[in-house]
Amino acid sequence: VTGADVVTLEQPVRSAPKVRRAAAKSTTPSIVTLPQRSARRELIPVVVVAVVLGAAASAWSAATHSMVLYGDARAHLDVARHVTDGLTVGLAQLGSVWLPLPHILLVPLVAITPLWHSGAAGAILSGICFVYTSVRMYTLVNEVTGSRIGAWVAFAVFATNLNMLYVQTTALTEPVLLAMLVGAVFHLARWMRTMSAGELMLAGVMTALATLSRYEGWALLAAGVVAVGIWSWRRHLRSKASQANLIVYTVTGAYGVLLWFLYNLIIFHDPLYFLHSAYSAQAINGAQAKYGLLGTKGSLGTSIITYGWDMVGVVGAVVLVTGAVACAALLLAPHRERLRTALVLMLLAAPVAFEIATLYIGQITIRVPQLAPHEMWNDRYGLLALPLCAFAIGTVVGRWPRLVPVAAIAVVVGVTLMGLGTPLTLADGRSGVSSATAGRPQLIAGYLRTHYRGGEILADDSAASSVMFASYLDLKEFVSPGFHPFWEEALADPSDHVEWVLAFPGDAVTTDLRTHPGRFSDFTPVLTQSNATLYRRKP
Amino acid sequence: VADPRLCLLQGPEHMTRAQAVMAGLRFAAAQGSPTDIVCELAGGIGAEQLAAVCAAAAPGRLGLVIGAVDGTGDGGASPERVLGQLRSLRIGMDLGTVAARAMCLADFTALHRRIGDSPVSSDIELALAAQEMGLAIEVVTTPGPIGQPSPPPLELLSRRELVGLRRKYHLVSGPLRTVEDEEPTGNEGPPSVLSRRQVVALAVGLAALAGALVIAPLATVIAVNVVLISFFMAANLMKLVLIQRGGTRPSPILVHGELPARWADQDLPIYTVLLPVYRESSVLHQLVEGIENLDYPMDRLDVKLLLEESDDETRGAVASMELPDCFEVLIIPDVGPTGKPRACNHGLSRARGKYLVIYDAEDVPDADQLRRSVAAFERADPNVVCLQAKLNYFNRAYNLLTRWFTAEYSVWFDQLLPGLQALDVAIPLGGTSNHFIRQRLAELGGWNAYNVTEDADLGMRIYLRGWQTAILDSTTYEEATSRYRNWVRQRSRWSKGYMQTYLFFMRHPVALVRSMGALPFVAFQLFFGANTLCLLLNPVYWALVLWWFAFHAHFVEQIFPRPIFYVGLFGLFVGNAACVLSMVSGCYARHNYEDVKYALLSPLYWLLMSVASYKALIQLCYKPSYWEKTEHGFCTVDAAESGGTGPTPRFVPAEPVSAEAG
Repeated sequence: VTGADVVTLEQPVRSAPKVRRAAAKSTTPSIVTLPQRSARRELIPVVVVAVVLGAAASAWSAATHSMVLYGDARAHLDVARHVTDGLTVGLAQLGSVWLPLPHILLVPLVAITPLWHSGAAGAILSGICFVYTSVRMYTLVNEVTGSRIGAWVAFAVFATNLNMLYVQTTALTEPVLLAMLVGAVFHLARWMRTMSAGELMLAGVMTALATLSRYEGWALLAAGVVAVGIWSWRRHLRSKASQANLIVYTVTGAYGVLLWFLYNLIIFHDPLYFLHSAYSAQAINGAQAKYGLLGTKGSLGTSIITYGWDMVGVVGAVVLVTGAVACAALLLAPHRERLRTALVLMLLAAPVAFEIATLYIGQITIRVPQLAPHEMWNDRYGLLALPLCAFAIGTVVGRWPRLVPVAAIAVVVGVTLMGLGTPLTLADGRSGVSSATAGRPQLIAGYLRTHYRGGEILADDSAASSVMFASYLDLKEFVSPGFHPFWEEALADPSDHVEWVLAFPGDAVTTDLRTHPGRFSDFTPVLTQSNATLYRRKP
Repeated sequence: VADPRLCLLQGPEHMTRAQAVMAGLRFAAAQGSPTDIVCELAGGIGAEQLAAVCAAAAPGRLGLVIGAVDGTGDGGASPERVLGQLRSLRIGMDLGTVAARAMCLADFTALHRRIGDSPVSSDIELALAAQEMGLAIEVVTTPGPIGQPSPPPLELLSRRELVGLRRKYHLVSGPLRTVEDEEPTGNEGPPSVLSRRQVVALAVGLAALAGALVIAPLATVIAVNVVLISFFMAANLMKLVLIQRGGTRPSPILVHGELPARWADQDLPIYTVLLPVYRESSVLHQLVEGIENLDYPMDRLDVKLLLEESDDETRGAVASMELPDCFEVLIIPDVGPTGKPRACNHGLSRARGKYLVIYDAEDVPDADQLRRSVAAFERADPNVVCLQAKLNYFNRAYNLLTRWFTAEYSVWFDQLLPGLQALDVAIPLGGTSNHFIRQRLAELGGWNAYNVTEDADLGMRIYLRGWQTAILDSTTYEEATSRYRNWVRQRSRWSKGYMQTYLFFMRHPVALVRSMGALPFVAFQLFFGANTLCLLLNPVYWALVLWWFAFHAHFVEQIFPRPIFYVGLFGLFVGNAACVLSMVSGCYARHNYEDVKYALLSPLYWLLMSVASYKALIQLCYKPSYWEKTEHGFCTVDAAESGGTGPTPRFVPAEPVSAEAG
């Protein structure tokens, strides 16, 4: 160590980290995924607007007690609640009437009693689905057109629809299906651009979730297989790759259906039990047909007209017409990526075609005010056409931005017109056949709520569920047909097993009461309303 | 002490040196001292010497001396020498003494600002920080500082501290030691599978379990079930996390296709290639040809052909062959544990190369792999001491087994290992195509000859040293075992090795978690531990499920209380499906589209893996170090090519799959 050394070292030394950073900059290629990040940031306002819209609608629904207007909404809440509350609990309580995913997602929410009774559990789940679907509508159009303005238009068409906004405050299962549907279509559209196996698998997973949400999802699966096949073929992929794509999408997408069959097999010892159980669509609509109330069955024209009126009511005439014109423009006018756009349209149209087809074969019932018998029933099914219209309008604007004013006018006029009257889905819930309150014996429910002091209640939940729900009692207080062997034991000897008996005209309890009146000699009627009678055991 | 420039500061007893320096600087600043040189002493110095030093120092140059003044100094030293020492910042390290020369106050202040409130030993930090700032650090081989006969014992660092330091100072520091280095390594350790403490713990555990089974059988079974299923789910979750991380976080260093060619032949370092061969005379020609086909100057290659003394057949075959000049044949004497690691250690001891790679006899590396490796090492973080090339198979389309095997390898090397790398946790090496910095490998003590997956063990030891393994984006094609029995043999050896590795490093679990940190420890449990356990448990759970489906057996419902039942169901239907999809994506990643449909059948492959795992478990009990030899040569590269089934263009770089290293 010499003095000279000391002098040289006193000169300022360039900071080594700086040198190293500079070196790193010059040699390391930038493989940072910047576009994705900025895209993510771009979504923040979309999410915020969707959350605000959804939350505002839910607040309105809660304030006006509209969350559980639908009998089906209540039934969905009950099915999920049965998993944790009842004489026997467990996944088997999901039953086979409906596909299980919406109920499974509801289970943790309805386990909290206030969320169950208020219907808020449904609003939370549907609200999350609504936000997801709205954001995916945006990203889908952005993916296909690369246009932000088009994406915003699609978002606006979807998220400002008052029927959609109302339905996403309920436990109805359409929002769950729409989320999975639009999610699957988005990933398929993205796969068509990137050809990434990950996107294809995600699309398959979303399709599987759709098939577990509503049967319209099964139509999506079929359309998806066709789309994947066509796209692989048109991309001139080696046949092995096309085959692999088809296999991956089909197997992933059909996995949900397979699980559903398996569930039916294990619980009900029949993989197709959901098709012909006592409460299947077939059974219910068979009864409708018997009374000549199923005009759509066997008539394609009536089916199309019925669903057409339904779409007019739910999507709105202005948006529907604009959407139809947009579809035609996208299919006919030459433009970049016409095939991909057409395939996306086909995927989104699959559930619509499914509705018309099932109307035609008599599997579902829709009644619209415009057609005899001039009632409302299941009008919410029209919502399935909304993503199609939103996508078509948004994509047209994305392709031809000069049309922005037209789209804006359509959205504003559509919302205004719909807002002037009562949205169809809300009206159906309030006074249509779908309504849960129609004919509900409120007095009996109220009586139970105030006078119940313990003991089991014998009730056939297929008829009595509205009273059960309105009584605010836990489901485990009721002995119903699903609970083996409690139900059979209670029917055979009610005075030994139950404190109360709730009998509705034509239900299993009334039938038993008529055939074995002696068994019920210990019970005395305390209240009768709309032919329903509540009995209590004599002290 | 007469010199007016000197001032003694009395600090608290256990002040670290960094604290003392900071205190001195603060004091000097408060006094308005004209200090411009700060010196620091590592050891004690006599008052007389100090006075002499002060006298010899130029006026105004010496401002602050920090050091223990204890009067036990070396009386024989001349004032000049003491001044020289005084002007040095001496830091003892285990390989010698690092000295930072005297520096200006601004530098010194900056130095201490850089150190900040580090909890780590100040000696080491000072050296690192000074080095980083370019403050003339040099390693001198003189004995310890004045007044002390030997360097002061270094505080040993935990791996976490060490990695923290290295990350902070962007340094590779070979001489730094971790706690683990004080533990016996595998080479020194006894070849027993379990340490005495582990045997005791196992015995106590089993006894407790037996007792609990007697007292409360159902509750015990349920409890065990809960633990196992939770473990199972956690391991599956870990896999998904790895796949996600591996897929979405590109590693920082990329070896471009054109980059390796930039090196002129004469600039390339000597590269040692270890070729352990045992009873593989049938593939010898392919092997030699493969080396000759490497795009690397032959005079820069140092190839060690490692033959076992007992292997007359291969020795005979080699004797009859004309080998290129760069080949050196080493005959491994038949002493000690048998197997590849012993041979490799012999090769390592004779290796001359700056870098070293190990290839199996039937390997076909990408032709430019060595060049890529050199380029990657030059560009990678200096902490990276090992590059793992991706492995794949040239006889993929030979039969169903080879297709499964290929898909599994793709998942392993394209998804899981990059995921481990992204999480910065221990990476188990694959048995071949590991490229090392030879000196570092030697410092690690080479391979553990008692472990039958010496590679996994080595990966763990690299990690514990605070070094890193990175994935090289170059592929080596191997021959996939195409016969079921042979496959089970090979897989059982791997499984056994994983068990050994796991048990070995779990000898001191508390020390391990302290040293590694919590996340890497969990990753170690879930990757090394749970992987094996899951394979052992899979058939048990599947049997239970089938039993329940078939007979609705009551006891199955009993041992699966509802929440656990649902978690189990989720694992069965969703977890397994996710694993199948990862196999499918492995096929896609390698463009092996026709394998996709076979990948969907991979649960059958997992069953085979379970069979191998049970075999491994049994072997672990009665012959833990036994090396299950995998037969090769059922399918050669030429056969695979002429059959038109293999996708592998021979010695042509495969399509870049993904790019990672560093």
